[in-house]
Amino acid sequence: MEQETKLLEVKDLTIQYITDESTVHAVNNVSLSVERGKTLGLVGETGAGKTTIALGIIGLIPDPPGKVISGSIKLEGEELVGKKNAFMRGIRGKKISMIFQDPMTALNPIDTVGEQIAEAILLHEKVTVAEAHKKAADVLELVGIPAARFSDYPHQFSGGMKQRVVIAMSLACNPDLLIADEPTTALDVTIQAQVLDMMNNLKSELDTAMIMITHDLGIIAEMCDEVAVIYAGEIVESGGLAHIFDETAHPYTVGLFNSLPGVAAIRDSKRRLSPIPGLMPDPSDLPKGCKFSPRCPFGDETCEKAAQDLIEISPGHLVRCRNWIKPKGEK
Amino acid sequence: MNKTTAVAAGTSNQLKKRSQFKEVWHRLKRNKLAVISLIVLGLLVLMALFAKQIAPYYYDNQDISVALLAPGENPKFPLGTDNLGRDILSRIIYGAQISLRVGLVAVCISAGVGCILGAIAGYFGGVVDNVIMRIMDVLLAIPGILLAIAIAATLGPGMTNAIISVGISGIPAFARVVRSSVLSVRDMEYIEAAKAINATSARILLRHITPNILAPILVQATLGIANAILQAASLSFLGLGAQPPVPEWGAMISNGRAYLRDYSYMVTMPGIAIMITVFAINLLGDGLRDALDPRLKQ
Amino acid sequence: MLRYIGKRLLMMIPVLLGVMVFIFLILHFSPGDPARMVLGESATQETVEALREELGLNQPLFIQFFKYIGGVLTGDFGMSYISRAPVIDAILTRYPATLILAGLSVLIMIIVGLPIGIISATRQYSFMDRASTTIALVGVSMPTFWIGMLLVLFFSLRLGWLPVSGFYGPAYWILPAFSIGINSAAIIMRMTRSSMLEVIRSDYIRTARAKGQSERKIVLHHALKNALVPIITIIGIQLGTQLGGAMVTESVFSIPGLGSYMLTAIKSRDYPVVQGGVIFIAATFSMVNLLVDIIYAFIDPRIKAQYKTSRKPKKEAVAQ
Repeated sequence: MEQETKLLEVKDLTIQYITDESTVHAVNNVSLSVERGKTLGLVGETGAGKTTIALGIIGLIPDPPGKVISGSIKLEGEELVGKKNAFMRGIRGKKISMIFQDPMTALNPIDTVGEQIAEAILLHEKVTVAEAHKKAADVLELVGIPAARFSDYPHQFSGGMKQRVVIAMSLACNPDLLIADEPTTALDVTIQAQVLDMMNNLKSELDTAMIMITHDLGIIAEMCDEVAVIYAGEIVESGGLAHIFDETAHPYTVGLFNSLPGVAAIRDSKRRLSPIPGLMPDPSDLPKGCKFSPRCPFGDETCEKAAQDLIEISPGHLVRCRNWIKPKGEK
Repeated sequence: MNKTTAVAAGTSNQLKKRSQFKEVWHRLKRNKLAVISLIVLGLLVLMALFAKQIAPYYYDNQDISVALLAPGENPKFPLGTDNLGRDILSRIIYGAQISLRVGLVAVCISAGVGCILGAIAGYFGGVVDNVIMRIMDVLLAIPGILLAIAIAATLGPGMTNAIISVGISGIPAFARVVRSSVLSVRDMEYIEAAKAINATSARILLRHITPNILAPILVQATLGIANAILQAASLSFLGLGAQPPVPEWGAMISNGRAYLRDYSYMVTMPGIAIMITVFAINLLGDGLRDALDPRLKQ
Repeated sequence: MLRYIGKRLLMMIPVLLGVMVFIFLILHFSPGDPARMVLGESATQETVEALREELGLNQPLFIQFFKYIGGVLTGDFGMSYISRAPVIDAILTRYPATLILAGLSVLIMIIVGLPIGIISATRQYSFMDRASTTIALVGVSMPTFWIGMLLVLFFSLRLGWLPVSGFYGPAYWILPAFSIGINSAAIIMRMTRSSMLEVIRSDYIRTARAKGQSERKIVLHHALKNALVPIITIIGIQLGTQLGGAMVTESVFSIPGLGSYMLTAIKSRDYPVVQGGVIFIAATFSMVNLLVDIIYAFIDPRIKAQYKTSRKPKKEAVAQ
């Protein structure tokens, strides 16, 4: 008996941006999966490749200059790589939705918010315009905006409200998977909390799986079931929430946690911030061997020479490191 | 640690500091079309500067015995002769002198007056701004070419008056461009910083604001030169600019009108000269606009 | 919205007044004596003086000006020095031809320039894009009177399809309309292309794609409508340029419009005609600009909101 529990399965995905001057290795052999109704967090600094992975999944890599070089993306078992754009258009908004970082510019200024939501509905469902409008109004209410504001224009909303509209638009057709690319980074902290809260509620109400892209570990802690840490286009550590937070294994992930004020103080009785020295490598000129080794406090010559594969150090917990940090008490 | 310092050094090596000007020039050079237009314009300038040496004949060398020869009919007159037996090629070469002079001087007038007015209006705001911009509005209510015609009619015929007319009619465009640039820059924080250390208004205008508004001015200037040449040609065509026998290209076209049916080259040749010149200027202007655009298109 | 229109109409009055002052002054300061122009070189000084008295040219300038303004306010634009007929009649008879030409060229601008600009923008760097941008650049670099003459050369003199000059019917409109239309269409095409290119990089276009919207709808609805504001601005400016350049076009094609009337008047120092013509054109241009601003409001709700600010408080963003 086949048990297709995985909603999304990505295997060895490699994406590059190829220009006359250089080739940017944005995503290097990334594999991840998302189960129905669960939330996967993608953590990493800016430029690590998280957004590219997301765009790759939804088929919006700008081509030229971007290209999916190899790998497979399977949605409910169906291969998405290589599908024509017409097919992907049917997927976007219907099975996989994506929302982006800056709500201020995400909405078309000349259409009412209601029309923009209704547009998503009319694209994927066979309903009349009136029915679509009614459904759009319902979705507005779902995200906490009075249905009466259907005919208002985006400029009449604040940033947080705009993001709610964007979320409404993405959930209007009840997609199986929602990819959220730093949806609250541009918002005030208090608004952030409200929007995340709302997303959590909607997620469980509609049973939507989610990929939450962020550089904020606090958000990961709030919202995610599984986590994947991305560095220089690769997954360096992945596992369940507890694995990442309590049994942090990769030096980079440890460094991320240590970079947080307050968290460092709690964890290791350190009072000072210890940022990770150096910068992420230039994606058009990646180091041979372990990509983190130039900055790694535990790195040695073997690390710099040979690239490292992912090792499963405990069930479901993968690390890309030879010298991975063992949980306290072992060495 | 050795590794980390090596990484830090590596990244700082990549940050080559180029001066802004060199950066723009480098970008412009990469644009092949812009380079071609620069070469063409360079040739035109040479033609204008050395017209007397290059042109086979003087522009008013009349000889009825060789009148109305088609291009190629007589190897001594490669582009043919007009109704008075003057060599069209020579007249076009001399005409380059006139057109380039018109373009540059007129734009100097427009830019000079327009930039000062626009900068004052933008920087000081308030009543000064209002008065200046109202006057600009009046000038702008009259479409450019009509304004030039009206001023030329007032001043009288002749190339110099045509240049002044075209120059004046171009002032509002520069004033607007400069004013809006100054407005967008004026309230930025580094200006506040300059004020905080007691820099005078003039100093602020000169040292801080000017470099940042140079880009739109430069783009407007190339547009202005192209426009000036076309407007001057129109004025000469109407008889308000160049007077015979001056070989301004527009005047040459006007002269050739009566002979359009059978000796069309009298009209087509000078027109092509105008077209090539203005085309090259526009190409350069486009290239400049792209090179000056801080958002590098990749 | 109506209040905005009303305010704008009111603001036009000082501008048009300024135009009148300007044109009045520069005409009266120009060299040459209108009376002498009318009577000719051989006329005696006495006859010229008599005519100057008759035309009121010896009065102080500001009295002449106020008399003129007074007349204008009652629709009297004075008498032509040459024909001694009311200027307003001649203008009203001749203006329609000029306006028809300008209108036709706007049509050509939009029908030719807009679609090519859109296609160029959506297929950036393709052969079609490069070809049309080059052709457009050439089109912008040619003087309109030259284009007109080339058109006459090919279509009238060589092929005989269309008449050379005159304005007796639709066939006569084609060549003149195209001679100014080509130039303007090229400008519109360039503006459309650059405006579309800018808009198509916007985040909301990305959102529309993420919704699964088709490229066609994205280009024609999401992108184009947002790109329209600068395009319409240029259309308005081009219309003004055509009106201003009417003298040139009508000269090439011997069209009996306002332009050729004014050209003759300029050369013969017929001040009232020139003044009247300039005022009419400036007024038309101002109305066109107002129309453009009104159209903005129908395209972009943010602009519409700005216009209404004086009347109602802008709808405040609902507080979190």
